[in-house]
Amino acid sequence: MNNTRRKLLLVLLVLTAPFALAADRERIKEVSNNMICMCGCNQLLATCNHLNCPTRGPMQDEVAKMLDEGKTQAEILPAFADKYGLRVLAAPPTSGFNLSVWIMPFVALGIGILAVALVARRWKARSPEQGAQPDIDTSKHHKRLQEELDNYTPED
Amino acid sequence: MAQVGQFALALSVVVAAYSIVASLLGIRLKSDKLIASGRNAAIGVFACVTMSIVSLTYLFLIDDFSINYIAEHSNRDLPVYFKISAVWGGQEGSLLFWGWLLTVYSALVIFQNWRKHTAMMPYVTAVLMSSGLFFTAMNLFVVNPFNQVVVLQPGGVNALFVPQDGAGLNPLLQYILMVIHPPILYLGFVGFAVPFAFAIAAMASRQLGDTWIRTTRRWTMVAWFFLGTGILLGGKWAYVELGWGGFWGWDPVENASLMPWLIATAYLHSVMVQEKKGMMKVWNMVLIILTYVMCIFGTFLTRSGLVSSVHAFAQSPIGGYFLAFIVVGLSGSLYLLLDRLNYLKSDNQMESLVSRESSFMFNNLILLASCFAVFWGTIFPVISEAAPEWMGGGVKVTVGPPFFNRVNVPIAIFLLFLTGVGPLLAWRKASTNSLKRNFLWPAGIALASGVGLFFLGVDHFYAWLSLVMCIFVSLTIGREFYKGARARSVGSGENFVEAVVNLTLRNTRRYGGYIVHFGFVLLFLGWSGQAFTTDTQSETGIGETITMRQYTLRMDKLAIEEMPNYTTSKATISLFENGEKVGVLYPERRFYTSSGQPTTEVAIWSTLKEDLYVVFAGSAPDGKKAVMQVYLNPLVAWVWIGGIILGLGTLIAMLPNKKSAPRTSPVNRVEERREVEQHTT
Repeated sequence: MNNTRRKLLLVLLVLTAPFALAADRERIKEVSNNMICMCGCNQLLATCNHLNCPTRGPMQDEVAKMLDEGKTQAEILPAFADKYGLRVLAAPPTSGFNLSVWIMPFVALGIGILAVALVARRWKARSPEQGAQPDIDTSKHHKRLQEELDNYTPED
Repeated sequence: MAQVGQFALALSVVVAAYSIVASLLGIRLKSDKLIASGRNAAIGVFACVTMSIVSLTYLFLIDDFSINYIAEHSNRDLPVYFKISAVWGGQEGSLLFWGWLLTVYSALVIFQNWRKHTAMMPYVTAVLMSSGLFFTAMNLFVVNPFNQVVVLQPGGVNALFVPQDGAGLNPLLQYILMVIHPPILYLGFVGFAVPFAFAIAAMASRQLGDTWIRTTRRWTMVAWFFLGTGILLGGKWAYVELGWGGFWGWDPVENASLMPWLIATAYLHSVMVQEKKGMMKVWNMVLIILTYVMCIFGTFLTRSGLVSSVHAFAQSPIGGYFLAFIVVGLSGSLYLLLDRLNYLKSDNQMESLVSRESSFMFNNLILLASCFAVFWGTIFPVISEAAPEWMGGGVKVTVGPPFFNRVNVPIAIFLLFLTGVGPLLAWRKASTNSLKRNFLWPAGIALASGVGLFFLGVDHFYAWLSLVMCIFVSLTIGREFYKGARARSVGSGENFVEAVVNLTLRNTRRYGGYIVHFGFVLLFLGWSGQAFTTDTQSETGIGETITMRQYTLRMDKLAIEEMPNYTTSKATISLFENGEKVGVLYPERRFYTSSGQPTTEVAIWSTLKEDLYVVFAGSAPDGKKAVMQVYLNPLVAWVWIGGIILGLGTLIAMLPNKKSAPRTSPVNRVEERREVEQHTT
């Protein structure tokens, strides 16, 4: 019985091996997409395609080994940063001074939204017709005019 | 011939300087003679730089390796068309080419506008020639393409030397798209000098009406068209030549071309608000100044070696000069702008936040936010290294695709949403009814399709959102064409296709704009497919196969071929789809003899659904098998199709409107209108 179970397990392992390999490849690729190859090409480790690249293979083997040890991407990336320096990470970590690279675009966007809101408010406040305009939906003529304007195709 | 080129270059520097002085002095002294002399000098600069670049091209064609630039960028076996493209294949020549295009544009602008805008043109000439002076002076004094090869002799004496053959053009540039990619990109970069010059001239001459905007509208679109086409051609080159499976890697040089394009896109939209409503005048000035400054900044990034890039072949120590030019240009322009603020007041006020005007403001905001994110990410490695250690700086970091994708993808999708919404909002104020009428069905169908896409397995959130937005925007654009064409065909008796064509030709700007937007939808469709790329790698011998989904690749032959300029390992692979042979692919690995550099020649089987992308990655250790990397890239073809449609839309938008047929009487028009209403209700 034990023997049969062992054989079954072996058959199952052989049959699922290609899938397991594919899954490993995908996991290695996922982690490698967040790292830079250290050969000096400035390409992602996952996409570095230099002939006889001296670092791509060993680095990917290291990733595979860590994945086999059960480490997650969140654990693997800092380990590589310790070994090769922060340059190995394809994007800076979200801590310390490097946090600013992540937040500044959104700070700028926020400032932009604020500026647009202020300008729009100032423009509206200056508008002399504001408040004096009749409600478009209650006026037959204005409704018609609005529809005409909406459908108007200017000749430029 | 080298002396002729060198002399013409030196003369161009002197004449450009004279053109600036004569134009400005002529304005100050109100001397028409001096102004005309400044104009003639600008034409003279064009003639001198043309002579200089023709000389350089001739020297390339006759293999004059006594010239250092030619010895470094060409060799005897290089095909003639690559010898011509090698003129702009390196630092010195590409700057000369930049300067030459600028003088071509300057001459064209002068011929086209001199009589029409007499007050502005001397300033325009002075501004264009200032850029011309910078580039020609850089070429003459810092990176001279006519310098001769010298070798250091014993005793520390330099002696002239003529090598037997040149080092050859960078193999990565020996690709047909690379012959046209840089000129097209430069036509874009340099083209923005024209609206910039008019903007400065408008401020300097206090002619701040719409004239400068209307005069430069087509120039701006030409520059925008070339820059966009150049960027896409660069993407195509990267896809076909670099062999990593993608077309956009957020490399600093790619970013350098994207930034001015983003600001120029914002400018192209916001000028419409100024033309229609007399608003956003200051903002338009800021945008066109920033666009041109970013063009120069892009050139600076490409050349200076400030940031690490795959375009390392174009580095040299000229960054400081460019930085100085940027600082002087930017501060001068902004000073002028601040001084003229009183002349740039809005004629109208905004009446509603739900209006075309406000949608343009949001469009501008999003485009600039995207540009800032790209700018910040690109220069952050420099900032991080320069920051003091107590702040956590002083460390070299990399800012690559994970950052740019995470920050820019949501921004880009929101922009796509605005592309669908903005054009359908009415000027001044959009009513609730019109919002419902325009958006209810497109939004409903897009959401229903979104549910369908999810169940079809599109589980990547941003790809899903992008596809839903693509459907939404396509429907809103389609609806606009349908609505307009139906109204026309009812009124004129034209069939639907004729009506669409005539509708577009009678309002080229509006419908050309819609076509441009549709081009963007297709670009997004192509980008969305990138989320589902898969790949595999295998060592394959003769007769062996690689299977990827429905495709099977069978290695039929592995051969080494000697070509005049390189040696190539070439694989012949039969491609089967669902067991049926559909084609033969020839991926190569080339080794360029003169430079000793290997390159990859990818084989691509492209369909509308997906690209099968085969890379000859190298030979297995036993030498009998080839290492083949195979990618399945969904929807990539739509990126190129989108690019073509985008270009087509831009060209249509540049056409003058077709004249209307003779107008019928008012009574008839009322009748026609009634007829249309009866058919549309």
